[in-house]
Amino acid sequence: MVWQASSGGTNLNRITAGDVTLIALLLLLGFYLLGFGSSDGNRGRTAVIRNMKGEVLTLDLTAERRVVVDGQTGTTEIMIGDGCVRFLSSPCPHKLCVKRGRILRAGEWIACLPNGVVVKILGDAGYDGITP
Amino acid sequence: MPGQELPHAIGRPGGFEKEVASQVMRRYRYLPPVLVICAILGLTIVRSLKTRNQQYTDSRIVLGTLVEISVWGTGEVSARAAVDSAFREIAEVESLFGDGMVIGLKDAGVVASDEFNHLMDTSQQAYLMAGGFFDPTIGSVSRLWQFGEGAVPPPEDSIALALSSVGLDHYLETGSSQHVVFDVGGVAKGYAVDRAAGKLRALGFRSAIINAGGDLGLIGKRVDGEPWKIAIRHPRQAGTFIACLDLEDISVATSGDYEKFFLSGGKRFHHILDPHTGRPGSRSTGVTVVTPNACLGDALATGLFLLGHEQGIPVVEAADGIDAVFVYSNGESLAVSSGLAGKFRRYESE
Repeated sequence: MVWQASSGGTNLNRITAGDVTLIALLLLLGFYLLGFGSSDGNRGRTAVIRNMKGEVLTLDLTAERRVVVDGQTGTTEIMIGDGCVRFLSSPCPHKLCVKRGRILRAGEWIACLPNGVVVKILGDAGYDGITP
Repeated sequence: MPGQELPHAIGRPGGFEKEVASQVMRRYRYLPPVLVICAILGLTIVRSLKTRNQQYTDSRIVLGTLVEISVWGTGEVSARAAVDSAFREIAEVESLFGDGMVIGLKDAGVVASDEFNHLMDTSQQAYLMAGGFFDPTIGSVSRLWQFGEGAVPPPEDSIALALSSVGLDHYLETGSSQHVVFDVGGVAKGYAVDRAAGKLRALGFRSAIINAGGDLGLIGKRVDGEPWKIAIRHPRQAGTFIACLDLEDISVATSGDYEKFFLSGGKRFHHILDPHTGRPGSRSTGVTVVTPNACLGDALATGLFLLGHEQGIPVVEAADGIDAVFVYSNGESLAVSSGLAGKFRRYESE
């Protein structure tokens, strides 16, 4: 950039296109640094398991594993892997949680209400709610 | 020429550099205050946008299901307080009706409450609209059906005996709750959603969702200005959806035969019981009702499920502000009311 030193005050006081660009760039940088430009990136497929004691376990859905969770009346066995979650067993009378089968989409959940164990899949679902 | 415009700098050591620095400072003397103002404005805008998009979610097991409340548009402290107050509304409903929702004669205090009368008024509306297929006096029959491991259908004579105490007409005519066992499970969840939504609206929230085990209260629209996108579960394909609805400021309730059931003799026995036969209905596999009143929507989802799409669609079309999606008994075909045109799309499975 060539600085033209001039005593002519009128030119110096005028805001040029370069000035506006500079301010805009500084503002953009500020917004970015403030985190406005970052996204949640909540696209990872994870499962969150919670019991009534408030204990929370967050697990990657791609890694296969069997999880045993302590509940109010006993232990609930949960199978995770291949992007899905399903209840293997739970000490509840109706076994609705086991009958529910596998869930795989963000926002879906299975709960063993008598044992107070809930599993929910997190991720970018593309919808805001599921019914029922 | 620059040299000609700087006569005072000539002949003095460092004079030219000083003059240039001075010119630059003069040239950009406005920059510091402009940057400060921009920074303040920028911070205010960013903070406002971040707060507007900020989501706070809490989920609890209440009313015998998982209830999740999400609010947008405020900081965590006020969001937490608001969600807590919404959950208190739901807890009040549970404390009155319990999580089993079947109320017998011993619960005279409950039967006399304003809340119970509200549920009965709404139930009566659903009863009339659904041709008697929604009946909250079905409690004696509901008690007979158990859905545990190895469950079997109750004996026919037990069902026949239990059916003798079913009939909302009789209760409304006589006003006597003697021998009547109420099952408010078909309306109380929706009522709780209405109470929680009313609380959040009163607190000024314009973007919130209450999800009580699939009964949804949708407040306003999404913070990006788009309608809420609600997926309807596929009745026969676990982990997939059959349709999606774009909705604003309304409630959604679904009754499906896949929620609670057992298989016996190769046949599915589910929990949506026909008050005329005392047995599970078979005209639908799922019905989703969209209405501003979640309590009514909850009741109608049950009634219309039992009524079936052939009779149900005309009922919905004749009603103001009520829409529905019926999934036929084959678990695939759909009937959709005209009010959902442009808001409904069949879900394309991956």
